[in-house]
Amino acid sequence: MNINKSINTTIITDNNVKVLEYFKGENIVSNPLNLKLVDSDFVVLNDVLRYLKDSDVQIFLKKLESKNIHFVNITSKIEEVLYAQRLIVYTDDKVQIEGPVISVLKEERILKKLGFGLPFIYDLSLQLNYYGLIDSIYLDEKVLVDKLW
Amino acid sequence: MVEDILKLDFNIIGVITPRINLPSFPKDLSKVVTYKPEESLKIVGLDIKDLDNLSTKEFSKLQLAASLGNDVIVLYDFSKGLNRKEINYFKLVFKRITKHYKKVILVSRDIEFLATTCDYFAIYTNHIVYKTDNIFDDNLYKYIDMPKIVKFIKYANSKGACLNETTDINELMKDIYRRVNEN
Repeated sequence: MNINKSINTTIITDNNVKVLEYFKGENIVSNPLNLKLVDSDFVVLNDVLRYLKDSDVQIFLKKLESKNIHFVNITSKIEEVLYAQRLIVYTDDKVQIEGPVISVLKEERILKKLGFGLPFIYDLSLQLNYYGLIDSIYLDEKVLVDKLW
Repeated sequence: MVEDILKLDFNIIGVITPRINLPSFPKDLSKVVTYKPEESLKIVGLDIKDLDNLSTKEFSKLQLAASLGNDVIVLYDFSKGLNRKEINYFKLVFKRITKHYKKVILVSRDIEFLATTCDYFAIYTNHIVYKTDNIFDDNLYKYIDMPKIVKFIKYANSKGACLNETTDINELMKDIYRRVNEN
């Protein structure tokens, strides 16, 4: 797996133990209580963001950005892919697909076949776009609602 | 905690609590999955011989396999490590389990998972702080984040969309299509 440490990346996987083997020696955070202690220019988040409220995730990510700290977020939660710029899908001990988040999400059939599905707002946008109700994909629910009504 | 929750007369109960303490298991698989071990492991899709180095997914599945013989099944952070397809499978397993007069209690902070799985929701610190059977109950959101589908529907309805309250994206999609075409 090739990781660019200067781009925030989500690795969506069903086997975090296998993925963590690629990050031996890195600053790995597995406990949400340790998030505040991050002091590195690169950090591996091991399925911890799920314990935070959305607003706290945004504050935490902004803090990382202000300190120029990049991250890899390892998770099974498809909603979290929207926190980063790059997405790697890792199952069956290999990288299935990778690239900029939106490019990977366009491979919806592969994501559904692998069992991950799509983030809610992206999925809804996609279906509404398919049925001609909107002209684009929107990732903000307020913007999407304002387009419809 | 379990005693308070058991008094609630619902089958699949979501308990949202700030601290979740995962159970610990002995190292011997045969001491963990004691009720119909082969069948239990098959139901949860777990194919392991020992408990060394379990992934979060395997740990979640092991919790369920270890509990299938109980009348009350309590699972902590169950959705962790599972992908959406697996979560949908286990939702059906829970529905089947509760048809046999069993109760399922899901202790989690994953509100997206709980919203589409549970009949009832309880916010718990040292006691039940709030409880409701309605995921669209605004009082819940003094304590937790809103699931994205609930947030979308509430905002849309504040704009006059008149959407039905649902946690099913396909039902929502049909409803949006109807409402937009009515206008």
